[in-house]
Amino acid sequence: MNHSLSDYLLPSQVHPQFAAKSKKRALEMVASQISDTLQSDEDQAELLVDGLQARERLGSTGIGQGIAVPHCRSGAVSEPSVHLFALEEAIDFDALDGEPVNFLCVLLVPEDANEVHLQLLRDVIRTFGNPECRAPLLAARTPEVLHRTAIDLFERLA
Amino acid sequence: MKIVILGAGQVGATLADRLAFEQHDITLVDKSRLRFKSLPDLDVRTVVGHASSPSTLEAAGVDDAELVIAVTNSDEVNLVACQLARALFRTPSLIARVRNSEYLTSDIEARVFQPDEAWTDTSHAKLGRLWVQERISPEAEVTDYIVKLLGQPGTLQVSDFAGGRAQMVCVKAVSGGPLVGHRLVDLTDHLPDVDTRVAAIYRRDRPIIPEGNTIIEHDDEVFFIANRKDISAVTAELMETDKPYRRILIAGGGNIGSRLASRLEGKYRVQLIERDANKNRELSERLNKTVVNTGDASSPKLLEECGIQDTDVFCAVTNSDEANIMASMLAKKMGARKVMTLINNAAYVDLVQGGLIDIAVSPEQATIGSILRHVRRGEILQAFSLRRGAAEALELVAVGDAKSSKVIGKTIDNINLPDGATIGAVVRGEQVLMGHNYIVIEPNDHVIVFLAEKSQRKLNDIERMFQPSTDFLL
Repeated sequence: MNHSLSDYLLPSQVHPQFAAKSKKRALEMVASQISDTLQSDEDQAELLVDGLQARERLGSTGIGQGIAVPHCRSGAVSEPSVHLFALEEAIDFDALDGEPVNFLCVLLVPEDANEVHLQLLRDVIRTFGNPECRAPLLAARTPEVLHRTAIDLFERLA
Repeated sequence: MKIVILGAGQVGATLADRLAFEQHDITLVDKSRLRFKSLPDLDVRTVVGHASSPSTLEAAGVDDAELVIAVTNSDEVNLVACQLARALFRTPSLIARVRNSEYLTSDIEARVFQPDEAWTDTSHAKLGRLWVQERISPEAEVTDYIVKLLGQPGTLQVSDFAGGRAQMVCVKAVSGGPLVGHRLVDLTDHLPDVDTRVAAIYRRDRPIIPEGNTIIEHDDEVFFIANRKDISAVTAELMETDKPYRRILIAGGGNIGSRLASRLEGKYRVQLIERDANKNRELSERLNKTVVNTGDASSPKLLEECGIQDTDVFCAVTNSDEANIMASMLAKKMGARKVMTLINNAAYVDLVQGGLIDIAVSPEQATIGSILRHVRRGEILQAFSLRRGAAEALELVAVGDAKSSKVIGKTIDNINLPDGATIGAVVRGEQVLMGHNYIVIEPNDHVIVFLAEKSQRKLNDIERMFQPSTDFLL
């Protein structure tokens, strides 16, 4: 591991207590929140929903233990960008273990993602897929705490 | 998956039942409260309201649904409901029942509906096109299906894969067929130039996993897969050669009967029986060669006049199950070589198939495949429900690469499928390869899997096998 999550996860990209009541709505709201954060245009927001949905059609990114890692390529970014959403209520996400999901770690990579980006994707999925992460991530009540917790966990576990 | 079904008629109710059974979260909408009362106990949420009204769609929770299926009995309502769902709630998948065949000609379809790419990438969306991802027409699908069965005499079921390059068929073995009483491996000696794979054998309704040493018995139901051109050669090994069909008698001149007659009249000698004299005038004008008779298909006198004893296939396709069954039994008794019967009620299918009725055709069976495709995860191109839902055949795309896929780069004997599942064939571009153990799966291969005893768990396992790992980037 030779990258630090703090390069890709800015404090503005974490959202504790995010409200969404279904998988479909969650992907739409996540896409719209991310587009706001990145200040990308409306077309990019639409394409982001498409991209996240298309990936889910191939198989759910719900990796189990209440965590999902939706991801796709996006023209809105030139560097990978990670966004965290702790959901107020757990939702059905067709997860691999069948359990509802209450934490989303969304990762966007540029259209021409390279091997470094793909490695980051694998590291993020592996790290946040670790059951140890679940309790501390969900316990965070403020963006500051969630941001720091995520970065600490990544440094320790990745 | 959250699914909203608009219209609780025959098609909607059957779909709801079927999808709820597969553990999906179903909401069923109909404008008539009475409709719900007449339905058996379904594990679904019900909403009363007009399918094409925004407030009904909202009340039904369309905003949370990943799939909306509009199957009311009005094409227009179905099409409008889909537009509303897309415009108001950006529904990711929309299926509509479209009965009018004009919409379904490829020219009109290409100009009226959004292209497939638009569903995964809205930048491909075209102005003014309708948002309906899949158009289903039970009548057209039943018609296609019957035409296909007639084209492969002797088969009980036919499923097309990879655009028809490969077919899976079900044949009932009859003593007298050269392979009956012999081991499966002997097929290679009998037909050295034909590559085929037996996916399953059902003996007295129980599946047995075919092996080289398995001896085919009289009355076995054999499912095999082969290149389409080889199907008749394999069928001929399992029964005394069924002569090609020539004379067809259709009972019922409704939506299906008239479509069927016009599809068949160029190739076969077709007669049709319809009760309604007014309808018959219309039919006679529309059909060129079909002989149209007015009367009751369950009248022995009329059947006699239509030459029932010289009829190769009697197809009963009126809109009444009971009428179809009675007419078919009568026709068979009076000497029709084969009878095919349209039956909506699944309980009747079990009752009659294999008795006097040779083939029961169920509209649900013909339609469910195109819907299952959208419900299942992974790149599933087709899902055929076989043996009244007890078995299933799937066409799956091997997505990803050797790193992210559990099947790519492996030989078939190293792929760990659930019990009772077999890989029948692999379609690679134009090539159809039978599922021999040594075949190595490559990226984008279409893999045809047969599941003999279906269970939700086994289906999930198969889907998972073909899904790329979570870190696969699309």
